[in-house]
Amino acid sequence: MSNETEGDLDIINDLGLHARAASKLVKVANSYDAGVFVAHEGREVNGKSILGVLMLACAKGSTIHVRCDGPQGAEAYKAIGDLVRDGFGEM
Amino acid sequence: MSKSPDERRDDGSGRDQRTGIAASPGVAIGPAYVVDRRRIHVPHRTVDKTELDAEVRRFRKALRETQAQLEQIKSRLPHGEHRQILKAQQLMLRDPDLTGGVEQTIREAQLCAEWALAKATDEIVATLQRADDQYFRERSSDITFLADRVLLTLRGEHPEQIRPPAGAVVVAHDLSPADTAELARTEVVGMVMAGGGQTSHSAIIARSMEIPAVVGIDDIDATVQDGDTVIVDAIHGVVVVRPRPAELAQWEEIRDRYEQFEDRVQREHGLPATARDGTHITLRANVALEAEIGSALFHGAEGVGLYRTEFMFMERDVPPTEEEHYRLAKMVLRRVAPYPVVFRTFDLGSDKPTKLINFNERERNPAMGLRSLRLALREREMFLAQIRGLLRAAVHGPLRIMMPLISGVSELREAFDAVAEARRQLEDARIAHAQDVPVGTMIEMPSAALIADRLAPHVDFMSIGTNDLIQYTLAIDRDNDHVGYLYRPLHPAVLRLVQSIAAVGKEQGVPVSLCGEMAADPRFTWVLVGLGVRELSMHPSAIPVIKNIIRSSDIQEMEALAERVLAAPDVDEAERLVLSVMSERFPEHLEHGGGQPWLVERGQRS
Repeated sequence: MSNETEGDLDIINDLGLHARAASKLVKVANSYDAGVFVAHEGREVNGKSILGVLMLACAKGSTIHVRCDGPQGAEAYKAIGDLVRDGFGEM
Repeated sequence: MSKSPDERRDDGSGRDQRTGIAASPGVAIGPAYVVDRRRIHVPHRTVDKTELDAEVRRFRKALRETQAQLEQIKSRLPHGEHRQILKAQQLMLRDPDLTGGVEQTIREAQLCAEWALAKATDEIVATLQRADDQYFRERSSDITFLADRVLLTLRGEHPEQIRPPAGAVVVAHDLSPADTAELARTEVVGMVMAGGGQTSHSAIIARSMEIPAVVGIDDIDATVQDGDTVIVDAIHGVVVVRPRPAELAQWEEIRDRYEQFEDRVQREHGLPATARDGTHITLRANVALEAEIGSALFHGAEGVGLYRTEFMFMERDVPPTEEEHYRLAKMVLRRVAPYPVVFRTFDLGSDKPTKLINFNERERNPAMGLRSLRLALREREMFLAQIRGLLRAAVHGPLRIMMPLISGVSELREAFDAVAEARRQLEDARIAHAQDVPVGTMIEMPSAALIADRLAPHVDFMSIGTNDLIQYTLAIDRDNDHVGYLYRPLHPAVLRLVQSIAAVGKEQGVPVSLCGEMAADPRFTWVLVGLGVRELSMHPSAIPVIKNIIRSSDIQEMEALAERVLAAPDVDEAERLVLSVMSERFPEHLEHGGGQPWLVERGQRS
C-alpha cells in the first residue's frame, strides 16, 4: 500500500462536493485516527467539518488538495482518494 | 363586478388592504395565526465569567435537543431524498468546527449562546452566498434553517409545532414542505403568504386542501399579529387585515354567497359537461402533486389533462429514477382510472431552479433560454429515465405522454427519437411496457401554432398552452410589473391562433385541448368553445363553475360570440364584448370564478 498522505484529487461527479458527497467525505475522514485537511483555491478546511467542506463550494471539474496526518494518515488519504475517484458513488 | 368594499387605504384604525396573487380560490375570514419562520430574534447578551460553563452546557443541550427533533422529523418522512437532506443537517449539527467555534466564542468573547451561534452561521452563510455555483448559494438557506432551529430550541420552543386553531387564517412568509404537511391535518380556513407564486409548494397544498390562499404579499407576516382578523379574498387576490366592523359584515355576506354558489355548482359534479344542444366538452384537471388528485376527482374531472412532473425534480440532489417515475405514474393512473392521465415531460428551466442541472451562466432571458424540451434533449439520461418509467406505467392504465415547448417538426422528431430509444432500452432489458402509448405535443409557441397542420400528422393529440402562447405571441412577461398590463388573452392574434389550431385538429381528426389559465376563467369559456376547442384542462376547483356555464349554454350562442370577437377591430373591443355578454349572462360565475384581476379592473373602469 502506498504511504502517500497528500495530493491533488479531481472532482468528477456531476454535482461536485454537494451536501451528500461532503457528508460521505466527512464520514470517511471521521473513521480514521488522522487529521484531514482539504484545500481548494487557497482555502484549507478541516475535512471532518461538513460545513467547512461545503464552504469550499467545489463544482464538478475542480481540483482539491487533500492532506492527512496522524497515525492513520496514509489510510485516511487512500480511502478519501478512492471515494473521490469513484465520484462519491454517484457515477 | 365584485361588490367588495372599495376602500384601499388604511383609515387610521389599523385597517390594511393588500393585493397579491390568488393561488387557491375562495373567500375566508378568521383570526390570524402567524407562523414566523424567518426572522428569529437573536438576543445580544454578554455572559458573566462565572456563568460561562453553564452557557456552554446550555448550548450543548440545545444541540442535543435539536438533533433529537431532526431524528423525529426524519422518522416521519417517507421520501428518500428528504431524509438525506435531514441526515446532512444532523451531520452539520455535529460539525466540530461549528460547535467548537461557537463554544470558543462563548468563552472568549463572553457572548450568549444565541449570539455566538448567529455569528458563526452568518459567516458560513456569507461565504456560501459568494460561491459561483448556484447549488452552493442555495445551501445557505439550509444553514439558516438549521441555525433558526437551534435558536428556537435555546429559547425553549419547538419550531415544528404548527398548531393553528380551527377557523384560523395562517399568515407566513413562506412554508416549508414539512410545515404544509402539518397544516394539512388542521382545520385552517385560509392562507396568506409573503413569498411563493401560483405554482409554489404552499399554493398547491392550499388548492389540494381547498382553502382560499393569497400569495406574494411582501412582508405580510411582519404586519399581521396573532389574532388579528384577516379577510382572504382569493378570487381577486385581496387581503384585508383588521377590517372595520361594518365592512366585516359585508365580507361575511360575500363569503356566504360564494360558499352557497360553490355548493350549488358542485352538486353537478357527477353530471357531464354537455351543452344544451348536446355538444360535449371534456373537462380535465391540471395537477402538479399527487395531493391534488383527490380534489380533481371530487370536482368531477374526466381525467388529468396536464400532470406537471417538475416537482419530482425539485428539492433533491439526484435525479428521479425510472423506478420512481414508474411508481408515481402507476399510482396516479390507478386513482384516476378509468379516465386518462396526460403526463407532460419535465418542463424545467433556469427560472424553475433545480439542483440537478447546473445552469452555468445566469440566463438573461430564461423564457427563451435552455428550458423544457430543449433541456430534456440535452439532459438525455434524465429524459430517457422519465420516458421509460412512463412507458412501463402505461401497462396499468390510459397514460399519455406530452412533449412541451415544441417549435416545429424536426424538434418533435428528436423527441420521438428519445421515446423510441427508451422503448428499445426496455425491450433490450426485457422489461414490460405498453406498446401503443399516445404521444402528443403542447402548442405554446407561435411557430408551432402556425404550423399545427404539419405537426398534427405526427401526434396523437395537441394541447394549447395559452400561458406561454400569449407570452410569446405578445412578447409580454406578465410577471413584469411594467408590461404585465399588456398580457391580454383576448388579443386578436391569440384568438386567431387558437381558432386555427382547433380547425387543424378537426380537419385531421387530432384531439385538441387547451390547458392554460384561460381554461379556468369563466369569462373565456364561450369564446374558447366557440372557437372550436372541445377539451379544457384547468385547476380542479374551477371545473364545477366552467361545467355549469357549459351546461346552461348552446353551442350556437358560443360560436356566435366567438365570431363577433374575432371580428372585433382591436383587443379593447374584444374584451368589452366578452365582458358585457358574459357578465350579463353569468354574473354569479364571473363574480365567484377565479380569473386574472386585470380584466376585472379594466372592466370596472369602463
